[in-house]
Amino acid sequence: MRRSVFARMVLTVSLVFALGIGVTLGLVYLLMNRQIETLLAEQIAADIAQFNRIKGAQELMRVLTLRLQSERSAGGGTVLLLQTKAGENPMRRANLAGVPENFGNIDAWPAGLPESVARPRLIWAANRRMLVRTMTHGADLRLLVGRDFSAWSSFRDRLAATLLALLGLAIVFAALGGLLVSRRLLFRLNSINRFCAGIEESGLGERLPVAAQHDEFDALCGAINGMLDRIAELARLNRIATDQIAHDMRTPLTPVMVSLDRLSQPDAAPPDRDTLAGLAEDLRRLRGMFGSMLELSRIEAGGRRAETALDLAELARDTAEMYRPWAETCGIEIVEQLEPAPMRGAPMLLRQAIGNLLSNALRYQEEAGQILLRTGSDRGSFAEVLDHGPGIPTEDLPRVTQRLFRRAEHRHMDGHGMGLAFVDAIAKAHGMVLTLSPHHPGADRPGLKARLHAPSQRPV
Amino acid sequence: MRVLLVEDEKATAAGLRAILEGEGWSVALAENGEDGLKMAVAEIFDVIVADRTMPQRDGLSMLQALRQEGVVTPTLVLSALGAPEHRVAGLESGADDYLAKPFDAAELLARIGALIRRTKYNAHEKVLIVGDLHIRTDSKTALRAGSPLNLTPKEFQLLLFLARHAGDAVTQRMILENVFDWRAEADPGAPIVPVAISRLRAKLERPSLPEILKTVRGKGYRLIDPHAG
Repeated sequence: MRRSVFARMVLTVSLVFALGIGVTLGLVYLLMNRQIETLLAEQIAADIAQFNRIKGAQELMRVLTLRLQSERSAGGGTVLLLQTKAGENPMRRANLAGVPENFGNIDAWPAGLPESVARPRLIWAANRRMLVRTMTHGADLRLLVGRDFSAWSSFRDRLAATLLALLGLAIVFAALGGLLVSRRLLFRLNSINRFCAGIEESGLGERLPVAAQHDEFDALCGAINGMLDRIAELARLNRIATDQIAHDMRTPLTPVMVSLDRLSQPDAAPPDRDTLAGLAEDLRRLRGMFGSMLELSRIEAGGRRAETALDLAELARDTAEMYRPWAETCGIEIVEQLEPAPMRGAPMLLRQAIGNLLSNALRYQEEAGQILLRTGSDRGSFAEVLDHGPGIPTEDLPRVTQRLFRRAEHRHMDGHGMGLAFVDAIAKAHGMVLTLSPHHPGADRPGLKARLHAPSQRPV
Repeated sequence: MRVLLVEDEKATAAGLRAILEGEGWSVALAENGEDGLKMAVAEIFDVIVADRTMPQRDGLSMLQALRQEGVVTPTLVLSALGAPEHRVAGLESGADDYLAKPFDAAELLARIGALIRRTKYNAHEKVLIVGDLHIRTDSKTALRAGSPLNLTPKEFQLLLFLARHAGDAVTQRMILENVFDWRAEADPGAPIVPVAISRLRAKLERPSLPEILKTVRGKGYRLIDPHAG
């Protein structure tokens, strides 16, 4: 798997690179050819212009003869052919002996070539590729003027060879570059890979080194490290919670075990119904505590939860309706001051949070009076419950949201000491803040003001 | 009544069988989902009680297959997975009710009772009559011995729920879930249901009339027709 990624990367990088170079070199070659053609066409045009200026066939033949001589001796690639329109050597009209068949340096007028071609034409004649133009001179002469590529062909061949060599070199470099880039990427990838694989053995303490290059790999390393931090923190909390649970479960389990041991003594009297019912009740309490633990973990774990637009005021009204009968049996009136408090959230959980706060207030107020339930919007939606109970001593404030925390004097009460832990977890799940403060600071019974506040970016 | 119990754990199965047979019901046991499916298709049961996690076809997959076969026997799924999303998954795969382990025997029996009852009452019934109690679902009013009861909307819902399960005990947990849309774990120990019941009772009962809303110790509450049976 890993190898194939490596090979694919090298191959792709090299191929793209080589293709790019190949196309560039091809273009260079074509442009060069084009340039040569233009040059030759200009030379031909100059010749044609010169020959056109010449008056008289004799003079033309003299100039052409000189050109043909110098061409034979120096070789400039010039192609010339002067003929009568009938295709004969004009000198032959004089019937001179020893006059060659052709006046020029190719054997015959190329087939199909008109007598007057103004635009240079690329033709293949006498085994040579040449660029030619033709013109007529006087009444009965025609002249072909051209340049063949022979002078250029070696240059062109050298150019082609050089370009091909360059292409080859480019491919080698491309492959090398691809190899290097891939190796470097894969090296860093593999080091991250090895690190992740090693986590199982080394525990959660190790962290990936983050190079100071601020590139994507550093971002990845940073993200992995951040994730590890969170996992480590969760594991730590989990360990603390497990320890706490083990401790808290041991306490109610002990009397159950003692009772069961006593009942199973050989000389023990057969258990009566009440004893067994009591034991079942103890176990039921334990199950309730487990249920609460699970509930809290569920809230803390977050997970799939349908968030909707809602109004805390409506949730508070519903919840107050549910708790009001209980409050009235305690002689307590739940006073609602509900202003719209829109936000997004999970209605079930937020109802539960408000319910837990009301429940707390009802349990601790301990005397007739009022509980104030308020919602509204003050730099973000809020819901708060204010009671006239004993409040929470400052030294206990940090601990009251811990699971199963109950102040010693309240251990006799119903519930599992999870209420504020639930509220705190629900608040955190919604990006809300739970603040606990005295309702009447300094008073004999300062009361408690429990406020759930969503920061202002949360409201819809 | 015939109950099909589908449970792979022998100890739990024995305990459940004892509880169910204690009610005088006959119990057939399947030890995995595959057998459960075969038996449920081949025979007729009044109710199925199935564990969720089992080897060879779990409870939910068995239930889906059953429903596809057209078997509509009311089914209660038992599971150690008790989170709301698990419950939703259970109900979506065709369960009629979902109960998290560990549970009280009373809770199990009450829920089975409600399942059997649910197949008997018609949700669209306009008038429910339990003894001298008349409940009109369309106008949301109730009369005891001909005189109207002054109920809050929640109290009416509670009374309607009790009336739909008249004769059977319903547990606090069932009332919380069905009437208050609330889970017992959300605020354990808060006496929401007992207080609501005592309120309802104060409006419902008259010294001159027989008591119809009974507390069943260790089980829950039961609305009865004092002259029936």
